[in-house]
Amino acid sequence: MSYFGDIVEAVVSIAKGMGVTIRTMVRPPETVQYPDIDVLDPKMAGYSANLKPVSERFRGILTVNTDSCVVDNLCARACPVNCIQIEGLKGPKTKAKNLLPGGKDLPKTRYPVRFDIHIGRCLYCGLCVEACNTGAIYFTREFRGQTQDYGNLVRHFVSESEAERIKKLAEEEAERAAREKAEKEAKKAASEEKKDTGGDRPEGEDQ
Amino acid sequence: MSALNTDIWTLNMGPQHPSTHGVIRFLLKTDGEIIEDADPDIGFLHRGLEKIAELLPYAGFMPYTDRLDYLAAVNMNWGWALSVERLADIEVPLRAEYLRVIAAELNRISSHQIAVGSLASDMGAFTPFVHAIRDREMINDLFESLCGSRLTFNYCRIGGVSHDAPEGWIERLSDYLDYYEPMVDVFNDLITNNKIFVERLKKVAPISAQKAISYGLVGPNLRGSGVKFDLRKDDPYGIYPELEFDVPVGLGYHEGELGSCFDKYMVRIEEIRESIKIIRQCIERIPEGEIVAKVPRNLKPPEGEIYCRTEAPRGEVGFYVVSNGSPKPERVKIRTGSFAAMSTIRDLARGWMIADLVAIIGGFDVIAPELDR
Amino acid sequence: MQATVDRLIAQLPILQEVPVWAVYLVWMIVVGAVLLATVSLIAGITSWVERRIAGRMQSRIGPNRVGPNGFFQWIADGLKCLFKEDITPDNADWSLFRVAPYLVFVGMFGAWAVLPYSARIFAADLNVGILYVMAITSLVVIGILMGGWASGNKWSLFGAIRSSAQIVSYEVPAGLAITTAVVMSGSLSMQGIVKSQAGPMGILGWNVFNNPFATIAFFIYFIAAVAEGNRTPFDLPEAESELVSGYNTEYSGMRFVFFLFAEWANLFLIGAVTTTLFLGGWQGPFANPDTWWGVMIGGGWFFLKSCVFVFILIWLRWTLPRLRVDQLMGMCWRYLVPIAFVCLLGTLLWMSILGQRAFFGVIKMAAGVGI
Repeated sequence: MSYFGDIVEAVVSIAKGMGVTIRTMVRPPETVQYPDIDVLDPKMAGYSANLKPVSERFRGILTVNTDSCVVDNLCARACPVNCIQIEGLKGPKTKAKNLLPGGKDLPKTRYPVRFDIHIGRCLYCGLCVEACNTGAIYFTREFRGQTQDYGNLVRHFVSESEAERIKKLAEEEAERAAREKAEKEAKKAASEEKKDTGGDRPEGEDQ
Repeated sequence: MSALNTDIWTLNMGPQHPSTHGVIRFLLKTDGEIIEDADPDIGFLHRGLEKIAELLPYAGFMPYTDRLDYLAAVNMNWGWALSVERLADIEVPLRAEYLRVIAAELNRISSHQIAVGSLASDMGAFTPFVHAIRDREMINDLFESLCGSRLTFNYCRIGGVSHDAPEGWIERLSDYLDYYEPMVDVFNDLITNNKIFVERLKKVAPISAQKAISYGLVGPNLRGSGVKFDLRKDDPYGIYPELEFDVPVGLGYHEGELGSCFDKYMVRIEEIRESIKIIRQCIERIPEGEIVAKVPRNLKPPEGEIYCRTEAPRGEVGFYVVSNGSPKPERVKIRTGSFAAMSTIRDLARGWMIADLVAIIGGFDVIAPELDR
Repeated sequence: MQATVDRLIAQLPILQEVPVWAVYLVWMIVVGAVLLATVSLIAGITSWVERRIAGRMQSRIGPNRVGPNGFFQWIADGLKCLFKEDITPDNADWSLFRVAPYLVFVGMFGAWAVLPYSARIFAADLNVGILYVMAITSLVVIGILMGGWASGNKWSLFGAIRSSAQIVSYEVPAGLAITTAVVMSGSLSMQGIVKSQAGPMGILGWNVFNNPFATIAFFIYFIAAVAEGNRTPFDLPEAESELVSGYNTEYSGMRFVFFLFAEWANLFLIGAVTTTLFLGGWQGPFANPDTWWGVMIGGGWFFLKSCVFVFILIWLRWTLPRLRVDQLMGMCWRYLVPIAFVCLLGTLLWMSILGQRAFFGVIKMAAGVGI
C-alpha cells in the first residue's frame, strides 16, 4: 500500500512546491536595476520596502582630510596589510581641527607630504579609521573604484602642489627654528658670561 | 566464455566545478556510476593565515578572521576575540555581549540559508537557492547599517564590538524576524518536503553517532547523527547560559536513516528557527552601556597558551593561541569543522553514486576557505 | 500535400509546363523552409519566455535590456554564438562530433511535419502519423550518444549514457499511453485522432475526458514526454551541478545552439503532441472545420493549448530538483509502466463494455437508464 501512498505523497508535495513558485511569480520582483538607480541617494526608488540605499556606515573607499592629519602614523601602524604610506615634515605649530563629534582640536606640528593609500590592497576593515585621533581618515560611501590602469589604484591624497607648499613651510620652519635656537644659545651664552664676570645682581636680592 | 570485465574509470572532479563548494578537487575512481574511491585534494585556497597571525598585533588579525569563513564572519571574529580576552583577562561589557550574540546568531541564520540553498541547487532545484539568497539580502542590509560591510564584517573587537546599533536598528531587526519566520515554512513547502528532494537525500551516507564522534565531526554534522552536543550549551561562553533555546538533532526524518544528508539538512533548518528565538530574547533583554572595554593600544597579553572554542555555523572553531608576552602572538592554530568533515568523505563515499557525492559534500556544508585557511 | 499540389497545378496553368516532380520538389522545399522558420521562431521565443518566467519565479526580472522587456535577447545570443570560435577538442572523434547536433535537431524537427496545426493547416497527414512521431524522435538518442562519446570527455560520456538509458526506457510508458489514445480514437493519423475528438462544445469529446483511465494515461504520457525531452526533473544528462552540462559540455558556438534549439522547440512539440492525443488538438468552442474562420480559431486553440503545456514545463523545471539515475529508472519501470498497462487494459474494457462513448455520454446514458 505504500506504493499508492508514495504516489499521493509525491503529487501533494510537488503541488505545494509549485504553489510557492507561482505565488512568487505574481509578486513584484526584488531586483534593483543598479546603474539606472542611484544607490547612494537617500530617497532611492525600489521595488520593496526592504530596499535601502547604501547605509551611512558603509565602508567604501577611504579618503583623508590632510588638514586634520597630524602625521602620528597611528593608521599606518594599525593597518593589517600596510596599504597606507605616510611621510611628514615638521612645520609651524597650529591646531588640527578634530572631525570626530565632540572632539577637541589637537596641536599639529607635522604636515603630510605624502599620503598614499593602495585601495586594491585595502581590506576595508576600518582599523585605521578607529585608530585616528582626529578623524582625518574616514570611509566614503563610494564603491566604484574600478580602473583600467593598476597604478591608479594607489590614491594620492597630497597633491604635488600641496607637497611643494608644505616643503616650503617646512624649510621656513626649519630656518625659524634654527634662528630661534641661535638666539636662545646667544642669550644663554650672554647670561653665562654675565654670571662669570659677576655682573649686575638681580634687583631686589639683598635688600 | 570469458568472464565479462569492467574497468575502473578515473575521473577528475576538478577544482573548478559547479557544486564543490569552493575550490576542492576530487580524484574519483568509479565503476560506472558507483564510486570506488574519492580522493580529496585540498589546499587550493590556502593563504597562510596562521603564519600571517604571527606578523600582526592581536587587534590587527581581526579582519583576517573574517576571511577564515566568510559566510560566518562574526562567529570567527568572536572566536578570536574570545581567545585573546581569555588570555589577557579582559572583561567585556554586557551590552557588547548581547550585541555579539545578536550578530552571531544573525550570521548563523545567513550562513545556514546559503547552506540549505546550495544543497537544493546541487540537487537541481535552482529556485530555492534564489529564494534563500533573497531572504539573506535583508540580513546583509541589516549588517550594513550596523557595521558597514555586507560580508566581511570585522565586527568584534578585543574587548567588545566595534559599532553600536544605530537608531531604529533593533526595530528593523525585529521586523525582519517577523517577516522571515513564516518564510522558513514556505521554504519547507517549496523544497524540504518535496518527495524528490527527500528521496535524494534521506538514505544517503548515514553516519552513526559513534562514527561521527570518532571522526571528530562537529556542529550540525555531528548533531545530524543524533549526538546532542552544542558548545553553546555544553561549554558556554558569553551570555549563552542565560538564554533559552533547544538543540535540534537528527531523527531520521521522513523515515530516512539517522545521520543521513537529509538529517543534517533538517538540523540546519531547525537551527535557523532556534536562532530566531535567541535573537528575540536578546532584543528584549539588551541593556544600555558601553560597547567596548578599555584595552591598551599595544596589547601585550601575559605569556601562556590557550585553546578557546566557539560554535560557528559549520561546527566548532577552535583558536589555539600561544603568547610570549610581546604584542604579536607566537603561534596561532585554527581548527575548523570543515576539515574534519572533509576527512570523512573518502571513507563515506565508497559505494555511493557520483550524484550522491555531490549530496554528501553539500550535506556536510564544506566550504573551501575554512578547509584550507 | 499531394492534393494541395494538384489543386495548385490545376489552378495555375503555367505550372503545367514544368515537370510534375519539379513542382513537388519545390513545394516540399518551400514547406520545409516555412516549417524551419516557424520552429526557429518558436524556439527563440520560448527561450525568452522561459528566462522571463524563471526570473519572476525567483523574485527577479529576466533579461530586460536587449529590446523591449528583453525580447531580442535570443537574437543577440544567437548572433553571438554565430561569431564564436568553433572549438573541436583534440580527443574528439571529429566526424561524429560534428554530426551529433544535426541528428538531435533533425530528430526533433522531423516530428513537426505531421502536427495538425489546424483542420486544413498541416504539412503532411501520414496515416501512421503518431507512429512516425515516435520513430523520428528516437533519432535524438543517437545524436546525444554521439555527442557524448565524440567529445572525448568522460563527463560528457556520463551524460550521454545516462541519457540513452533514460530516453529508451521512457519510450515504453509513452508508447503505452499513445496506444491508449489511439485505441480511443481509432486511427494512427494525427488528423484522424483530432477529428475523433469532436464533441459537444468542442470540449467534452476530448480523449482525456473519455474515461478515468484515459485521464491517468494523459498524465503518464506527459511525464514520459518530459523525460524524453531531458527536462527537469529528468535532466540528468545535462545535470548542471554535477556534469557541467553533460553531453554538450565541449560544444561551443553554433553547434551548442543547435542542442539548445532542439531542447526549446521540443517544449512546444511535447505540448503539441500531448494536446493532439488527449486534449483534442484543434478542437474547441467555435472551431468548426467547415468554415475558414473556424479553421483559424481551431489553429488558435491548438496553439493556446500547446502554450499552456510549455508554461507547465517551465514551471516544473524551475520548481523541482532532479531525480537520480536509479530513481529515474525505478520510477519508469516500477510506477509508470504498470500503471500504463492498467490504463490500456482499462480503456479497452471500458470501450468494449460501454462502447466508444465518452465519460459524459456514459453519465447521460446512466441518467437516462437509471432515473
